[in-house]
Amino acid sequence: MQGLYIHIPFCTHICTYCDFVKTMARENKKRRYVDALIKALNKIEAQTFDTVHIGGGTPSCLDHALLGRVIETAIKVAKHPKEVAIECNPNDITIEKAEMFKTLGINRVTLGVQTFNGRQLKALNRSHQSADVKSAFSILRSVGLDNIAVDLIFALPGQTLEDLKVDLHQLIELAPRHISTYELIFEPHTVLYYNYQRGRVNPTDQDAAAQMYEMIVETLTEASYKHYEISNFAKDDHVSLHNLLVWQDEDYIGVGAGAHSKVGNTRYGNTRSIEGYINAIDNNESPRAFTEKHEGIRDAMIMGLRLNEGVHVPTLNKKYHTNLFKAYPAIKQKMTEGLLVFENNRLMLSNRGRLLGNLVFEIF
Amino acid sequence: MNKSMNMKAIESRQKRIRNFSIIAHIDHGKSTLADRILEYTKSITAREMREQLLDSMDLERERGITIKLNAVEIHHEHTDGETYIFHLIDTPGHVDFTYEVSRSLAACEGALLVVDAAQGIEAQTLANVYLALDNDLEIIPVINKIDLPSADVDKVKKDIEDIIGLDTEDAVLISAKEGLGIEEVMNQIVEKVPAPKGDPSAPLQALVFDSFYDPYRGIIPSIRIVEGTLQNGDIIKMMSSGKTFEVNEIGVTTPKREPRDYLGPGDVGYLVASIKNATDVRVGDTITRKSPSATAPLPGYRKLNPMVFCGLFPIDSDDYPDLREALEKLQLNDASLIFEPENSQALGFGFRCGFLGMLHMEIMQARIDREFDIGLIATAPSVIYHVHKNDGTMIKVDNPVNMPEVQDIESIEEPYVEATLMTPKEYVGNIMELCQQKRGEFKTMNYIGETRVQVVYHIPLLEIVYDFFDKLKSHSKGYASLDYTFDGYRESKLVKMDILINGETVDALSVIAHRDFAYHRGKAICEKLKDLIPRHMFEVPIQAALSNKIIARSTVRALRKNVLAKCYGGDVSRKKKLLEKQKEGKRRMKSVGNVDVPQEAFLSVLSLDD
Repeated sequence: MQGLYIHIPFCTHICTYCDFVKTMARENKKRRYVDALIKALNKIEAQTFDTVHIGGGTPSCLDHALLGRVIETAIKVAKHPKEVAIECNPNDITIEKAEMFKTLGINRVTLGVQTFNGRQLKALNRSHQSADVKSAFSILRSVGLDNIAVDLIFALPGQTLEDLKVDLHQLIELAPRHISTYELIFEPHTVLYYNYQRGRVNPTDQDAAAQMYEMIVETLTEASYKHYEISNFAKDDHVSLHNLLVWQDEDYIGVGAGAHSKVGNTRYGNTRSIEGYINAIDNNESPRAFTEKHEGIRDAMIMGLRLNEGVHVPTLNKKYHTNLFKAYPAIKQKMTEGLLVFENNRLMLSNRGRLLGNLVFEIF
Repeated sequence: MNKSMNMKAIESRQKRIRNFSIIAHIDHGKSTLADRILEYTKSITAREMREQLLDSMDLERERGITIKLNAVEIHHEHTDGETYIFHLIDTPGHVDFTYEVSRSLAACEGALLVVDAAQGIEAQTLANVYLALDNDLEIIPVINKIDLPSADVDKVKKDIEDIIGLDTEDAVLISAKEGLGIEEVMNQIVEKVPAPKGDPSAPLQALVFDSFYDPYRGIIPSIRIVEGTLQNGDIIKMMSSGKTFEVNEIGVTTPKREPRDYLGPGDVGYLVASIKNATDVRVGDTITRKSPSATAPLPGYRKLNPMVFCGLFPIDSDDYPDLREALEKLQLNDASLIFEPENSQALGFGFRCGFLGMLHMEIMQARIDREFDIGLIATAPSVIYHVHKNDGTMIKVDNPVNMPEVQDIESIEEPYVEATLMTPKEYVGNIMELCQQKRGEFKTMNYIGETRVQVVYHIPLLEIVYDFFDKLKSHSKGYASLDYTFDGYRESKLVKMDILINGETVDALSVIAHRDFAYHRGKAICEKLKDLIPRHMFEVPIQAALSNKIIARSTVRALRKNVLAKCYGGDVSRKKKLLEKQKEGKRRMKSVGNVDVPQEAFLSVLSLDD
């Protein structure tokens, strides 16, 4: 399995919490960037990719022609990918865009819903309103794009359990096939962090966040979503294939500014500078900012344990010529503490372990 | 006496020697003035000066204070055509080092009193001026920073006259930063500071005012020849211990060490005599020749006794031998540091260390961390208690762990200090309130000029070693200053308070507190520990107890959530960095029972917000 990730670092608004590579750019810059992307994509040697994931930033903020070129090229390079996903802002979904997606071969759309609460949307500086979400769903479904995934953020400043419940129920009513629920993190170099440092806003108490998380798991499981990764839920096995292969220690190639790749025993990341990326590609130079060793078993465990099904120990032992339990005696300790469970040859986090994952990941 | 020694030359040189030091408060410009004098006399090039500054400890520069600097020999061509020999003898600038200051001053005939034209006189300056006057030094008032818009030269002059009683008619007005007035400073040093007295043919009396450690040559004392002469090959005798050594080299510091054939009265220099043990070179001691020997030592020698104690434990118990080595090396440079092995149930093997004061303690801890790269846990500082037992005996206790059982104690005495505080008058209310809170007993209050007040309190040293400095600064917006001297022992109602974490007494957290404050302090410690100890998978109770009676408690709630629930895409390295940070944090903690306790927790009894 191999995945292809394409990063579109452009947005019409800058969300207060976002620390990904992004910018509000002029059309000219977007065009130069897309030119560079296409050049980089075409350079990828004869390989096949099982998944294509176009993320950002906000891919949907590119105009029709530019976005069309990216999608077409990516699918051509990937050669018959099983999953072609794109991240979109709900208010960017127009009937034209949806039709283009369908025509070009997109088969999964991820909507950045985050919350339905108008006040919270405003506080996050999201460009859409909650009504846009419903409209996006009906437009996508009208062209036959049924595989809709949604990102939700919880632990928003001032959010109550009740607020979150309302968000979850509104979402369940729309019946997306996949839901990712991410905790709001105050990352340095964000507006949110700046405001936090000045005492204008405070992160949600970790106990409250834990309660929210438990409520999410309970509510979505009841609504017949399968909890398959710490933050991810899928209906009828509509898991994110692209993310799955990242968690399952498979290879992926990232194209674009700030994109990360893992190929065999190497991990690398591209420059976070958009101009730097364009110039590197224009001058036939490598856009890589760093290269590091894939730490085999360590990376495989840190990523693999995020999945509810955990890791298949015999497969892992074979792949890395090791004996996991001998190499990491602390696993036993974590099992005694009730954070890890070993069943049917699979090592996985317990329910409590999922909330305390870092205490397990750190032993690897 | 060696025939090659020319007595005439020695006497001629002696007349041209001027030994002086600079007295100033932190930030009033001592180092800058010293640099200007060095520059003015072209004693060292700018490059050498930079190097010398680099050589001095980072800590000094960071804290803006001088701990120790070499005594430097400077040659100055005066307007009378003669070349004068200046010895600039640096003094440490902090209350912990009062005795060392007094010995440095004893090596001088004069002192420059540097006062910031905008700030006026501070408590430490005053204390040092009094030390200088005690040593009969000629004091030259120097008013610095006259270029500042807020400078008030007349007021500062009046302060100096009112408080110290010095005539300021000839006070030198300078800006060390701008290089203004330096020539006048030089002139006054020549004209006002007396040439050293002393008879070159008398038996040797040399004052030890400092010492350095050289890994190849041993302990090198800095000395001032008061009487007689010293030359290579002499057998010298330390008058306090009677130990003898053969001198291999003598010389002066320029600031490089420059060997000389002999040193005569008034000379300031160093001697190398293969001295291995730091305790053999005590600041203030008198060196004489084995024969003929001086009949009496120079006055003023006193063995320095540490006043503040704490336990130092390596976080990683494997570092214990390294910590011992580090302390031994530091002691080579600093005989006032003492240590002995200590074993704590909670912290394992470490050392009980004694220091002159809080700053001395902090500096030593920082040096162990930086120069030897040993992660340390320091326990709360303690003073020496005199514990009178029921059986009529008295024991000295510098570690709460060794406090006898309550039923065996008749009474406890604790050391008091006389604290002299100087403050702008608007903060005097705050400062008196602080002193009352700290069990201080008011002695006197004097107005100094119209705007400043000097307050004297008798305060338990225990309260000073806690958070007094920090509190003093915060109660006066940083303007108040403090000087203190030991003032004897007094009986107090003191109790030992134990702290229990998860049901276990942590010996390293035990403290001695005044009975009337114990409840409050216990509560504050429990609250502070609750915030410092990270949450574990289980609930961690924290309790404060007076002889098994719980007086305060708090609880660290069980950890519910610690997982990366954020979208990081394929950015695995980011995830790993977060995990590394978490692990690194744990490495800096000590496991007590099954609870991870961070370094800071062991100092949590300090700086409690009242």
